[in-house]
Amino acid sequence: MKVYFKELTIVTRRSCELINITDEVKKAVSESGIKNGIVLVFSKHTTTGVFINEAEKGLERDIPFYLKKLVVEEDNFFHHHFFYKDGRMAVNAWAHIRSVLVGLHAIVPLKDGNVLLGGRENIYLAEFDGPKERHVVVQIMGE
Amino acid sequence: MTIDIHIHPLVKEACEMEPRLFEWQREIYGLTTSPQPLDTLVSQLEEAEVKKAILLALDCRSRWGCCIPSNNIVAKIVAKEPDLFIGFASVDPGLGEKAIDELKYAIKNLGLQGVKLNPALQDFDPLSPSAERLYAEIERLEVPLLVHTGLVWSRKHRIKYCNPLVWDEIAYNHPTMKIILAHCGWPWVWDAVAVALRHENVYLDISNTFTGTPREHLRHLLTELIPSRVTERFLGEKILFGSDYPRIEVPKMVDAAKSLSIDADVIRRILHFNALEVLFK
Repeated sequence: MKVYFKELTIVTRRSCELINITDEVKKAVSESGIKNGIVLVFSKHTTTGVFINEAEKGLERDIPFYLKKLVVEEDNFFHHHFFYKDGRMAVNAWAHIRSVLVGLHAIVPLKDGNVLLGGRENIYLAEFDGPKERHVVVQIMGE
Repeated sequence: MTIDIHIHPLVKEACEMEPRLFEWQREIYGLTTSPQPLDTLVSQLEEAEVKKAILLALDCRSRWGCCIPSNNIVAKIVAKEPDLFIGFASVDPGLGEKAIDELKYAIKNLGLQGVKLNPALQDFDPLSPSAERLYAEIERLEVPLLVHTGLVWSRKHRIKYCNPLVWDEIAYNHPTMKIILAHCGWPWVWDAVAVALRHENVYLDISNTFTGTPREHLRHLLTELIPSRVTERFLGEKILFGSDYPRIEVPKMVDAAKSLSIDADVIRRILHFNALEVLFK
């Protein structure tokens, strides 16, 4: 079995946004030379998410909107105190909780060199506390 | 339109100009999070509708042997976005006459437009003769001074020189030097307020978020600890907006200031007009 690893660097522009990374993932698959196996897409940041859904402009607004409604920012979060480890206040518990709800990875089958996404399925990086430079790992395992 | 008076440009580009900067940021400045590209700071300013941002140098050479960052680096970053950024120099009172020469150079040759001092990180007594000589030069150059007052979380530094009350004496001796007491002197807020009320040339910035989220902290600071009526009636022309990036994100601080339950004109003054007075009049 072969394993191919690539780290994508994505600079987000907004405090909360969805970024379609499907083309970057497919490019990594093509570079790997692996034809059959699985593709893991994994974000290295606990205030982001990775998910698969339809690439439609309305949904790209609805998903952050409802996540914001679900996890409100004005509340009494225990996380919001000074972090000596970081040297700054932690003020983004809501971003961490949204990240937990969405998850940090997606796994997609790879068959005959094609990423087996459904016709409407795209892979997204969700930014919940940007703008920031983010790193997403694409690992392809197979033959 | 908003002016952010308090930004530390500890961005990737600065670290590329000085390879040890991230180490000094971690060890001396006490912030361990990775530097972000300048682009992300610009995006934060755009999202928060900040039209001018003051970038601060910090010269800690006599105590720690480093600048976080240097005047040269601040000038180079300002040059990348000259319509957006204004640079403030920093010089080290511990360097004596050399500090005076470096201050003149930074203002006249590098185009920096103000001065930043931090008595805790620079480990100097604000009432010392060397600091006094520096204030005299700042006053001659007619540039504002932004000085750290209040808490420093890092246990490496002492806060005995950070009580805002010492600036009463300095403001009295230098009546034309504009002095901005950073962080409203938190937790010695009433000392800072007293000094600002007594002197026409003393202002307060509301940067950083010591007691919770930006909304929680600014609500506490400007409507509870200082009652709203005092903020509105006494301090409307004294308070300047600052974020303290990268210790806090700019849009969160702007959102917090805009959400305050105080007079809308006072909020506009805090976000914009008061800084205009200090910087350009």
